[in-house]
Amino acid sequence: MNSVSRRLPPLLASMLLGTFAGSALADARPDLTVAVAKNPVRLDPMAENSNVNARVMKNVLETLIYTDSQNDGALKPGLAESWQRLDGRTLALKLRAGVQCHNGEPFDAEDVAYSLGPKRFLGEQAPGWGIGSQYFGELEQVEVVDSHTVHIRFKEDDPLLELRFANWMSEMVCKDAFEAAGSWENWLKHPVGTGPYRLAEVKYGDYIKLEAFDGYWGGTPPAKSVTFKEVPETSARIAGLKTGEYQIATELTPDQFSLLQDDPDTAIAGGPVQSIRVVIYDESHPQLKDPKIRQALSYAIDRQLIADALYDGRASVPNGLQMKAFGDLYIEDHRSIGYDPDKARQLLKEAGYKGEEISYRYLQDYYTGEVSTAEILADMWRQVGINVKLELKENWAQIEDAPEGRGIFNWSNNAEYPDPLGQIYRLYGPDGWFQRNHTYQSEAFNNWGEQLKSSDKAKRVEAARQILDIYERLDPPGTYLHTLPMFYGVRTSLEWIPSDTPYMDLSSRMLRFKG
Amino acid sequence: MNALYIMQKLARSFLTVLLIVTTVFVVLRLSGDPAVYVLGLDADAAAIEAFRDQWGLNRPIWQQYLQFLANAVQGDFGYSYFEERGAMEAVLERLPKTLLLMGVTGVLTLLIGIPAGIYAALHHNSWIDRFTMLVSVAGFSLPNFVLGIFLILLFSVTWQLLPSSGSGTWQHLVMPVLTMTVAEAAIFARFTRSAMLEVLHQPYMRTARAKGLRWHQAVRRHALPNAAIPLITLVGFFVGTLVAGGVVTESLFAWPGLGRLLVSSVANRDLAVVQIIVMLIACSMVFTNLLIDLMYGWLDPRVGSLRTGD
Repeated sequence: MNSVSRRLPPLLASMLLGTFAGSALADARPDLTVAVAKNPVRLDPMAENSNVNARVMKNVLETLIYTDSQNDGALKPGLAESWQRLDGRTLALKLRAGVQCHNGEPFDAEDVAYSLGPKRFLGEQAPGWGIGSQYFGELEQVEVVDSHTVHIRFKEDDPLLELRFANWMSEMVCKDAFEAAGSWENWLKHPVGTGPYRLAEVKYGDYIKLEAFDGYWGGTPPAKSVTFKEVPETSARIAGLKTGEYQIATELTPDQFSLLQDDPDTAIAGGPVQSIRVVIYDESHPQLKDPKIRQALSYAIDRQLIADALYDGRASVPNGLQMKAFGDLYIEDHRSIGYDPDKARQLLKEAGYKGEEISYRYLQDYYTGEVSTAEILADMWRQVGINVKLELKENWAQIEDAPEGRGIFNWSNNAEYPDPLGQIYRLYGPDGWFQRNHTYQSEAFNNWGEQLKSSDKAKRVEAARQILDIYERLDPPGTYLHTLPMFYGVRTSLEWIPSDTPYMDLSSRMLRFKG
Repeated sequence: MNALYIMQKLARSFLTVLLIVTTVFVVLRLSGDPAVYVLGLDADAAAIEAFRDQWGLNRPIWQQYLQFLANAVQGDFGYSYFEERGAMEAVLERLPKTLLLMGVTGVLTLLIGIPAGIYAALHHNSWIDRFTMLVSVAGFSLPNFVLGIFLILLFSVTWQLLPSSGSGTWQHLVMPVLTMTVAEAAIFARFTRSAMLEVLHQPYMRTARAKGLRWHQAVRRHALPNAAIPLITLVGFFVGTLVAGGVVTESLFAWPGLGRLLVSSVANRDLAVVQIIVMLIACSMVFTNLLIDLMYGWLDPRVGSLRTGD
């Protein structure tokens, strides 16, 4: 007793001091400015499906399940502290207690139901359906069991249930704030969620400013505010980083690395994200009908050379159109075709190809190094005797347009979920762009793809193996080149770990200021 | 100068604006689909169709065009698909920044370019003339973009005197204005010099001197007003080059003005916004040139009467 009373005053004093120091510390937190090439315009992900939206808004809105990019994409508790499957199509989630929305309201099961409900997403009349349905089109119902429990049911069995609620498209919003906005248009300018930062100010074409939300459940945000400042020119982003006006600069290309590496105040961060750069073959093109010619195109590419030449060794050539993050569904022993120009020539001969022209449409560096890549590819194809005509286009619509002249074009294949269903089958399957636009049809591909939806893991693995082989060898709709890296310049005064997605996590999980 | 002359000029200006707006309308609508930009490439075909329906994008282009004209006449300039608000609102928000940049650049250009040209002409063939012309050739040969990066490297990265990009304080204005002014002032200096040189060799200058005027009086009363006529023509083009230069400079220095909005709106096919900006540029060009035409009539009374056949 005595010892306690003796210890009590210092304890109280330190608690008081701690509180005081805490608030003093909060005020002393630095402001962070991130120079970006582009900011999102519509801030709810269900209104703008873009990397730039994910980059900013995942700091404001959160998902039920958190993907730990530092831990091979392991699923960790997010707004839900636990979850379990009730059957093949129903997921029960227990929500974290004490989570607050930015407007001060508690976040509970009603908010989850509302986020996925008819006012925002569910049904063709809902404003978020057009984009959201690519992710949760099979959602049937969200049942509020009690204030902190929801049961989310899909129309049919779905092996991706948990992954869907770790994906950024499933970011949760706060019901009262949504209602208060009055209209979808108003809401898009000021979404309210539960993340470490809340939206403070939006200036279109200039900046988006977030400020720390100190009621955040996951630890005090390390920056007092975060400003995503639009600086479209790379050289200006680099200059601002060197002067210290910006602490992070995004979207750098490898040819600029030396400018920052030679400076003790700046460093390069980042690496491959969950995406693979590919080229697409349009099989409705008269020369590309024959799979042998498409195979020849694939064999003629020295992928490693492109990755090394353009990415300074920071991009890798994947083993087929798959990612290691797929876990059990990653086919370790998949045999990729590799670079084999002789085989390419032989296939062309067998197909009776006589040097007819095939167009290759591309854009002015929509993808990093797109122009150089296109020129290198055209040259590699020329060396095996394929007559490729480069056609620089102004925008995507022009790439899609006039399908009769469309031969080869560029794309990137995001793994929206770390699963073949989230990448190869989502894109090349019957619901993907390519089959819908008739650049690819394959019954065998679709049959195996449907088997990916089975709940039997062995069957899924076999299906994954087969569709990889169809994609790469038997009936290719295109071919992969390399993983897509995303590079940042960072001031050495801060420690920040980029994730393997376009999302910039600026919470205390990933960001720390030195000194 | 009479009312008919002014009416003719006004009618021609109106036709010019209409022609520009129509061309932009047709070209943009035929070369890209806003639905793809707004909803993304992977979007559901039904959603894309619904979007086109909502904005009347699947009607024949002439119907869309007539609708656009009818709305514009009533003061409705359409909706920005991207920013989800009135297109005029989006444009007006950026306008002050661009006006500031153009205004300061315009004034500085005239203040530097014209006196430099006059001075060089009056000291024809001296070292100062040659030096002015050397700087001027260098100035307008250097692309905006290169000069801008050079300034950033010098003033921001090396000397750390000025912010590298952005807007907000007067310091932010220095480099963008300098970038644009150098090339423009160089052109004005060169043009003013040759206009002056031509005038200085006219017989009326000799007459003026012969009737006893001092050299500076002769220059002020006779040379300057006569040299001003070709210069005023140049001012008309100047408004256009300011806008074009603004697009590059605004991007480089992350200046959130109309130039950048124009580039991003063209890329996104945010048609209503592009239309308004193009209309604004066209109107300001046409208005400046109208003003210049009227000034000719005032400076040189022969102009107005000759054209109307009086």
